[in-house]
Amino acid sequence: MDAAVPRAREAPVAWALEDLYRAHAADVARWAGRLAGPELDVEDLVHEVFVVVRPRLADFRGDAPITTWLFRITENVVRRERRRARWGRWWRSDEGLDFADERDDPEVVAARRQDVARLYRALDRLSERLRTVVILHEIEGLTGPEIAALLEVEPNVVWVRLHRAKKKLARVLEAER
Amino acid sequence: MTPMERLFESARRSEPVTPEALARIERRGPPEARGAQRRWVFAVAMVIAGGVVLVQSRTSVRTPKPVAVRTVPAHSPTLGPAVDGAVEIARAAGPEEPSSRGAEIEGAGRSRRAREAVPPRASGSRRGAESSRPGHVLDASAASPSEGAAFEVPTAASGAAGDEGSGAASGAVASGGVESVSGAVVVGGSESASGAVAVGGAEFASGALASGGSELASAAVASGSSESASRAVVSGGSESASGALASGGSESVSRAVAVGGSESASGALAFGGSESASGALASGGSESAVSPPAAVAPSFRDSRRSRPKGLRRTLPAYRPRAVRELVELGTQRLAERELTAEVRRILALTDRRSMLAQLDRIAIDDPDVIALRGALRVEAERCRDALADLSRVERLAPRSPAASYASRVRRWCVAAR
Repeated sequence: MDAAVPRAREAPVAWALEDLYRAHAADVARWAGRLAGPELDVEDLVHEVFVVVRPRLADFRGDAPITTWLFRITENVVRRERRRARWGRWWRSDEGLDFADERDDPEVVAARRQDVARLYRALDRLSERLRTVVILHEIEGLTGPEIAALLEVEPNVVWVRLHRAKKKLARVLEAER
Repeated sequence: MTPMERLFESARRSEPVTPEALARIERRGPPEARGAQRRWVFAVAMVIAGGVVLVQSRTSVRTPKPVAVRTVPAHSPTLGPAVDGAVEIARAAGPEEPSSRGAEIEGAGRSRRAREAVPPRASGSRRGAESSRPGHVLDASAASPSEGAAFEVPTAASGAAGDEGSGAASGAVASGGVESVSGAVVVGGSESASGAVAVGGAEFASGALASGGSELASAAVASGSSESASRAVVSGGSESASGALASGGSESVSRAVAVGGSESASGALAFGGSESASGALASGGSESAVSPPAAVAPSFRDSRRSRPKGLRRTLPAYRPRAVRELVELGTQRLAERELTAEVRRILALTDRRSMLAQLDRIAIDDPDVIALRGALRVEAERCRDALADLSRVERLAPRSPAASYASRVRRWCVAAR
C-alpha cells in the first residue's frame, strides 16, 4: 500500500500518460477493486479511469499529490459504474466476478465470496462518503491520516465518518439476520 | 469477533485484483483517446444518414398497374366560379352603384391576377405529364388562365399514379413533390391532399379544389394564395375564409360574400375596400358597416359615413315631428271649416290607420281633406319603414344611435295610432 498512499506535496511534474499508467495502474486497480466490490470488472474500471485521465492530464497543476487526483477520479468512475450496474443486477447472477485468491480451498473461497458479497450489499446501504471511508480503513487497511490525505479532508473528519459508517453498517447487518 | 469484523476479515483476505488481471492491465497500456474515436463514429454516422435521406428523397412511389384515365373538361365547373364568380358578383351589384363598379374593377383585377398566377403551376403539371410513364396521361395544356386553374388532369379510376417526388399516393394521380396524397388529383408541391384536386403549392387540401399557394383548404374551392379556406369558394389572396365566397385580397371572411379588399367581413355582402363589415351590405370603401338599415337605405350611398356615430344622419328621413305637425295642422284646419257629417265622423277617430282607411273609401274633392289624407299616408309609410328597420337595428346593432332613433320613431308611431 505504500505506492497508494499519497506522499507529501510534490513538485509539479509534467506526467506523460504512459508513465502515469506504468506507475499507478496497479494502485488504480486496487482502489477500483476495493471500492467497486465483486460486481464490477476491475480491468474495465482501470481502463475507464485512464480514459478520463487522458484529456485532463495536461490540466493537472500539481496542487495535490497525483495519487489523490487519481483516487478522486477512480472514486467518481466507480460511483458512475456502480450506478449503471444497479440496472443490470436484475438479470445478472449474484456470483460476481473473480475476486478471491483461487489458491485457497474451494470451500473456503466459496464461503469468502458469500461473505464479501454480503458485506458489499450492506455497504451499498451507506452513503458514498461513509462507504469510501470504511472500505479504505477496514478492508484496504489505510490509516486515518492516509485516508485524510487521499480524500483531502481533516483526519478528524475521517474518524467521524468511520464511526458513523460502522454504526450504520452494524444496524444494516443486524437487520439482515 | 463480531459478524461485521468477520466480514471485514473475509474481504481483507480477498485480493481485489488477481495477479493475472494485474498483468493484463499492465500489458494493456493506457487507452486510446476516446474523443477521436467518437468523432470518427459521428462523422461516419452523419455520412450514412445523409445518404439515406438522399436516397429516400429521390425515391418515388410508383404503382405497377396502369390506371384508367378520363379528361376533365377544359372549363372546370367547380373551379370556374372561384375565379369568375367574383366578377359576376360585382356585376350583380349594378352599374348604378359607383362603389359597386369599383368593386367590379377591383374584383376583376384581382381575379385576373389570380388567373395570371396559375400558368406556372400548369407548366409544373405539364412537366409532371412529360415525366410520367407511358399509360399515365397527364395533359396540363392550358389555353387560358382560367383553364390553367381548371387544369386538365386525368383521374384514377382505381389504383394510383405517382410521379416525380411523390410519396404515399393512394387512389390518386399525383405529380410533383407530393406527399401523402389520398383519393386526390394533385399537381405541384402539395402535401397531404386528401380527396382533393390540388394544383400548386397547396398544403393540407382536404376535400377541396385548391389551386395556387393554398394552405389548409378544407372542403373549399380555393384559387390563388389562400390560407385556411374552409367550406368556402376563395379566389385571390384571401386569408381565413370560412363558409364564404371571397374574391380578392380578403382577410378573415366568415359566412360572407366579399369582393375586393375586404377585411373581416362576417355575415355580410361586402364589395370593394370594406373593413370590418358585419351583417351588412357594405359597398365601396366602407369601414365598419354594421347595421343593415343603414346599408340598404337609399341615402346610404356614401357608406364612408356609415360609422355608428353618423348612422343618425344617414338613416331615412322619418322626420316624425314634421309628419306629426303636418297631420295636426291638417286636422286643425279642417276643424275650422264646415264639413260633412261623414268627414267629421272620420276625423273624430283616434286611430290614424282607421282614419286613413275611412278617407280612402270616400270621394274627396276638398283640398284640405286631400292634404290631410296625404299627410296620413306619409305617416303610415314612415311608421311602417321605421318599425321594419327598427327590428333589424335592434337585432344587429342594439346600442347604436340608429337603434335609439328608430325606437323614438316607434313610440311616435304607437302614439299616433
